[in-house]
Amino acid sequence: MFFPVMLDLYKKLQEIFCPISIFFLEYTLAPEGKYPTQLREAVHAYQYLLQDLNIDPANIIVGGDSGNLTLQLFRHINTPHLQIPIVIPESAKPSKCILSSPWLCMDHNSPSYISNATYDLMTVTNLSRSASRWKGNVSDNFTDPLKASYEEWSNILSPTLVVSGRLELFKDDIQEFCENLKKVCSRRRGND
Amino acid sequence: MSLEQYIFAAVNRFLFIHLTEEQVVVLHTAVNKKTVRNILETQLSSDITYLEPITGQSFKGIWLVKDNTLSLPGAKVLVWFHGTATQVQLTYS
Repeated sequence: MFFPVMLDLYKKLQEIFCPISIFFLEYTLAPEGKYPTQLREAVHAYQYLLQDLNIDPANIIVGGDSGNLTLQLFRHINTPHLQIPIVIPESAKPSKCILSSPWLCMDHNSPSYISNATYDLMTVTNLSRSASRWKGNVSDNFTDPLKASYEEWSNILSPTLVVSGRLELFKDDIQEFCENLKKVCSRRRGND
Repeated sequence: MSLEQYIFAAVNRFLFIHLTEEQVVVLHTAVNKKTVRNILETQLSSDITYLEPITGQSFKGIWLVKDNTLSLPGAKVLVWFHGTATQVQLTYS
């Protein structure tokens, strides 16, 4: 439940004289909204902030209950989705990214899907059903971020904060994503 | 993990298994609606706009907090993606 968390964050930022507005995109959940409905809504909302409100992308942080959708938006900015005609230039990428328990791969094969099965709110059965209702048989770099290379992700993402629970089903996928991304980024820094 | 958290997770798993996908999203949205009501009842300050819906766009969005710096150059914005079921109408007043 993110509303109270966000208000708390807002209060804390106010205390250190860092005013910020918080915009919630209420994207349509599956099964009502099939893939890529959510990405289309996210792209329109982001474009609204840039064009209608003239917000400088250097001052925009993007995150969400759905870390997967956050990743989809960054990917779309890098390589526009074929079904979404709005192109956002790379220079207008949000300055920072927050991934909260991102759902990175819908194969559900990592050990934490078994070891944390009695702790998480969700079950693998439930996740598989939701994934199937959302994207059908589609499996691409937008729907399953772990299918893309880490080299690619290191180019796509802005500085990113990843938040994950120790006892959640996604834990191992998230850990793999972070560790590999960090390796690629440090290797690149070493080469520069 | 506390006992309370453990029970909460178990009850959720039970519900998610036994409810249909449509029922899950409706429940999720209804819980949000209740939280929103609570926020409105405990507003932090009258100088700041809370829960202002964005109208006339092809997406559904709200300003959870609209700081008075938003119209100024250099305004900072946190964009948060949050799923809802559109068949449940959220009302903010």
